Amino acid sequence: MVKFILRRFLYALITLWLIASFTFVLMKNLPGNPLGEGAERIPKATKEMLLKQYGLDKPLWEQYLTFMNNIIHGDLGASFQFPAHKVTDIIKQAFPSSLKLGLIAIVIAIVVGLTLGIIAALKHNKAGDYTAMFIAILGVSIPSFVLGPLLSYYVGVKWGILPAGLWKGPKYVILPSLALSFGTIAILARLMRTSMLDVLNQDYIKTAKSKGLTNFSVVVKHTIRNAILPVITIIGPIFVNVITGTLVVEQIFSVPGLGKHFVSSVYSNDYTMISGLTIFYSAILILVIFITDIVYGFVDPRIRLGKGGK
Amino acid sequence: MKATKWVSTAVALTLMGSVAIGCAKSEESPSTSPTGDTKGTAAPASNKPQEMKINFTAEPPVMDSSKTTANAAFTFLGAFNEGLYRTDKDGKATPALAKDFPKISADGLTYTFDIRDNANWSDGQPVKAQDFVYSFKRTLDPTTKAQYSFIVAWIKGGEAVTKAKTPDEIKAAQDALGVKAINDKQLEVKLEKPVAFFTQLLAFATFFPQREDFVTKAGDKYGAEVDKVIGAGPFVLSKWDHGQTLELVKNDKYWDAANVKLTKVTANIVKDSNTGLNLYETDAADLTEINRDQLTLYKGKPDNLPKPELTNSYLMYQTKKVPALGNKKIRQALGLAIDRQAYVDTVLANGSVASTGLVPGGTSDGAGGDFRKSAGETQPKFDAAKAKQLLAEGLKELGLTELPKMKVNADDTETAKKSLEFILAQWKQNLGYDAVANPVPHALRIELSSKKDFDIVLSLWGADYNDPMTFLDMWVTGGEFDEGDYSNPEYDKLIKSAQTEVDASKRSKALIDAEKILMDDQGVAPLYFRTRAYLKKENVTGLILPAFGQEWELKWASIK
Repeated sequence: MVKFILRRFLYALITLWLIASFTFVLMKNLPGNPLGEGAERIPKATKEMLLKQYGLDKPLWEQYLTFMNNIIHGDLGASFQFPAHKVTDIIKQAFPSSLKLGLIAIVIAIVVGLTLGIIAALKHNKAGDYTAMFIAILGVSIPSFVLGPLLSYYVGVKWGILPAGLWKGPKYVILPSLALSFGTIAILARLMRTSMLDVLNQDYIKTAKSKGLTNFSVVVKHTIRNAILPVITIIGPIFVNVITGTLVVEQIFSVPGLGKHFVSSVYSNDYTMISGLTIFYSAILILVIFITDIVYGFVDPRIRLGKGGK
Repeated sequence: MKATKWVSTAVALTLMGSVAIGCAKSEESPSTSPTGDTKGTAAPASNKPQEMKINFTAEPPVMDSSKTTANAAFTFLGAFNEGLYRTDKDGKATPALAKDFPKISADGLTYTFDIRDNANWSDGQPVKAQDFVYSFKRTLDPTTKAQYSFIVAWIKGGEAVTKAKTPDEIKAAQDALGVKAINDKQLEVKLEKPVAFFTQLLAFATFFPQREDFVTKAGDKYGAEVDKVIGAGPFVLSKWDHGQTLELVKNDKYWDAANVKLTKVTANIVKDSNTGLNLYETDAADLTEINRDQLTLYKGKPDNLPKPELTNSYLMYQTKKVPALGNKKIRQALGLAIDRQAYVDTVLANGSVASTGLVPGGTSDGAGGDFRKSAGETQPKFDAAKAKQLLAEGLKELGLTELPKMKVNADDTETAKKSLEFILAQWKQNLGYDAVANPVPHALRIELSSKKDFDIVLSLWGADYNDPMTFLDMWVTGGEFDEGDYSNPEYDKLIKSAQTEVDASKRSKALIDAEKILMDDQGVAPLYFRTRAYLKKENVTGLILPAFGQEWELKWASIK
């Protein structure tokens, strides 16, 4: 098992290194220079001096080595847009909002999505099923950049129930979380429904029923617990998707998260920020996959008995 | 199988737990919700709390008056700090930390300023002449890497400081700089050559004072956090939640505190204009910028507040690399073929004004008037028939039968793309010419322009200071920003004479004559003078939306 974990860890590191290297190559191919707002009016001499300060006058291979060396030492460099701030500080500052929004959205998505899926399966081909699936289809069809402004306008402005935007306390979290969770609700509902229907047709469910167990007991103890396994598989990646996919929702509701930095850093060629954020998000995804692998290694020994596993 | 069940049970429990936590949290919501922001909006009108909430579109990158180039930072710097002068509602410099207007020597080179006795920093320390000396030297110091150092370099010996290489050279150049504190309250500045608008310029944030002890103590973080900024202005920056909120409170130690009515200003960073409008509609904001489509909903309503800017949009031609564009008649034809009034009415529809010259309306002429009014309409008016005729003549001169295919670069923003579409349609309709649209990301457009790698480019230029020179000196032969390689010796002569002329009216005339030449040559083809649209609650009075530099000026604002 230790070998299995070590091997997975090594794969994770290699993946991260590849991503960092690709990011470096891609961002060096971005047109323009990274001197930000007002760059067009910077006199040539000042421009050269600034590029020198950031080491951008050096050969590409030297820039790459410095870049990798800094990453190894946990230094993602200073942002070009916010020269007095390190990228790591900006991540520390902005990520908690994205994470909070993402976590609440995923909790809503899991609760509502699974409930809808369960109802749909139990009421298969009946009104409950159609209603739940109608909601699921809506969820898939309405992207957050449509739902967000609708919620902000109707709930925030027209009905005045919740704040239309900003991020200043618990009630400010509700609308952006709902907007963010809608698509995930749909995915989870459909997956849970399929999985439940599959389990409901298994022999052991029929056996349980024939043993005289109550419906509640069959559903909760046998069906849901088994049907939820395939859902767990995708919760990891979905979680990462949700916390990294908050950009549009953050923008719509003025949430001070990390998403806006991603876009603005690309527009302004903020090299350090682009690479820092890519590496950070990749690291989260890789970590989640790593943990999923380990958990699966525990759950199903055949997985770790793959190549070289014992 | 056992393990599987164990894991699924654990997950189910976790899910239930998280749901429970989620529910508990939302139940807690009402009691833990901060009431600060709702308080402001719910307060009875009779109390008239002097508090204002503003939607702000950008995070100030750094609030260091030496380093910043961003409007977002200039806006806040102007609120919590100030210079010897402050720009009033008419765009004119009024004495601020300086007691009065400067004493200027007859040759226009030496300025002497008296600093107010009651000018204080927000921590109570007096503002001294040395704070200005330190600030100017720091901006010029090449190790500061100040992008706007070129403005301060007009002080005698300034350029030498910016070009110094070693610490010793820097020190020697700084010592020789034409700025000195005669005593704590008297400052003397010597210029390299007369700068007619120098007093006006001193209201610009790059010339604000800085406290050496404070800057040194803050180190690299100077201007980056709420406790790393200090000023001597009407407000104090009291909160800076990055990416979220900035808060200003009244500075009781300000020399003119009696005339500052607002006690608190909250600026929330809201990038999306729809959200901005929603917040305005729910009274969560008293001021917000709106876009063209939103403006149509508020046309004629009292809260619609236009912000005319000293910013122009123009087409720049590469006159050297593209021989056809080196021909004056062809440039004139291209310029004459665009109906600018239709352009601002249909494409922009935000209050922007069709250009009548290069220098935007509202720019001072340096002799007490408005340059645009003094100069009149120097740009040839839209005339499709004449354009066609000039094109034919121009082609004949070049021995061509038709214009070569040319690309028109522009940003890839919605407005820029619509602008391209309009301009190209006008050329097609009025000249029968098909140009190629080339919308590219902003950074690429800038890079291509600075490498002179373009045929025609759609560009914008905003004033660095309120004087026509900021728009006109760009086009002198070999100028750093003359990316179209426009050249006219007569024009160069006029600009050079204006750069040294002490007599304001003679200088103004030289600049007007220069603009006339540039417009006749169509070295560049101006399109419009930009106006942005804001919504302001009717009970907010005295708020100024300056034409350049800052987004808004709060000193004289109050709530009715």
